[in-house]
Amino acid sequence: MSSSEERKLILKSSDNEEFVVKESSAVQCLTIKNLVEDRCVSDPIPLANVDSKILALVIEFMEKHAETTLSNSEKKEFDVEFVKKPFDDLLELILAANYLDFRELMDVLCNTCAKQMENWSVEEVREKFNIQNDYTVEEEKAARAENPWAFE
Amino acid sequence: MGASLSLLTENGSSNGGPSLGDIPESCVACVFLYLTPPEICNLARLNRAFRGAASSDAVWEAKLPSNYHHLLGLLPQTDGDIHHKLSKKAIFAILSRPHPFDDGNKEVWLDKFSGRVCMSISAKAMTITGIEDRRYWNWVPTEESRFPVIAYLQQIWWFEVAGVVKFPFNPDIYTLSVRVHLGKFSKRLGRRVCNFEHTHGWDVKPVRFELSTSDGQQASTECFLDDTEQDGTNGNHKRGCWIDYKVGEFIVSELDPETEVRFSMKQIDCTHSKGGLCVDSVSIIPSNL
Repeated sequence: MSSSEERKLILKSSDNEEFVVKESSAVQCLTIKNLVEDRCVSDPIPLANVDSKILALVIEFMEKHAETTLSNSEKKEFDVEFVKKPFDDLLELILAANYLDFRELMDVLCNTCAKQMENWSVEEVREKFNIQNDYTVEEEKAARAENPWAFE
Repeated sequence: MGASLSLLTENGSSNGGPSLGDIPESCVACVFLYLTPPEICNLARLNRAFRGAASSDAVWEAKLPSNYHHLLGLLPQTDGDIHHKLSKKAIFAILSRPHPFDDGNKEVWLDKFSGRVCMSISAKAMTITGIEDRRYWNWVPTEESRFPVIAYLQQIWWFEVAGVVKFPFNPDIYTLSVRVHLGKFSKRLGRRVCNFEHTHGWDVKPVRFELSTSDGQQASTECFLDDTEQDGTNGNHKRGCWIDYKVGEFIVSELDPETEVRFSMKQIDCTHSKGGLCVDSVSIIPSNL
């Protein structure tokens, strides 16, 4: 057993809660991996853009996916249950995964997000996800007329 | 991706949590990787930022087949320089329309939902036994095909239609089918009318469909093109409509720069004649599309 498997890191959320994680799990986040490799690891590592609620979820996912004893299908089963969360949480998780550069989590979340957005009209998506329409009337007309090939 | 935090809008949502509008363009692009091109183009209408993400080369590069350069090369009116200036989205848009090649007797396009390569081969590109003899076969103009004409068989003993295509198919699993129609169709006073005066013989023995590839894959099937009960108390479902007979599947792997596919349909039992059949085309479509 190499010593890096036992090495631990402390991650600090934006609301100052500290979480201890194994370095081997945490380096799935490339942002953290780069810090470790560049030997810029402070103790604890401050994550200014991730609050404790979301960080706890990220760590739950991170540790599950770092477990070598689990099969891929077991991990997929975990993923299916993991994404059964309110949409706001999923969005916050996407922001966190992007900030941490955690590809695996990002892929699972984006896939889930996409499935929910399938087959919805533009108005429905706008309403459900509270997206501001920043088009002028002319721009909106132009946007609607774009890409006719996709709707033939 | 990465730690870029440029937000799309400065307006947070009214319920305090983030809204989809707050998500960085790179994340939106990541979501788009999991949506089909029509869905992406639909969501491009959400706001300016979505429109930006919907135009990103990274998104569209992932939707294009790996050998899209070959497909672009087929287009007669474009030249290499123009390709470099086109966005990947524009390339996808161009390739998702059917493009004729081989003297207009074949067409290739990308399925706009999956980006997978599809092809249709006109009867004009096929070798048809007896095609030069108008007692047997005639070319009939039609609006019911991608191509301008279909081959109509009045009557023959030796029925054989064969073809070959050599093409840089994208690695995938493809299904080859033949599109035929029992009976002659026409429009009378705006209504579609079918004429079965020549239709006979297809219930006596089955037609044999075959395909093979240059790397040794083979598939075949046999079908009766007509039902024996032709007065049809239950209706003869084989007559008067276009039917795609699935011949089989073949696999194109990463290692194949070009694949040659041969196909044929035959009914060469000369003890009975057969006729009254339209042959339109062969289609090569990715399986499970």
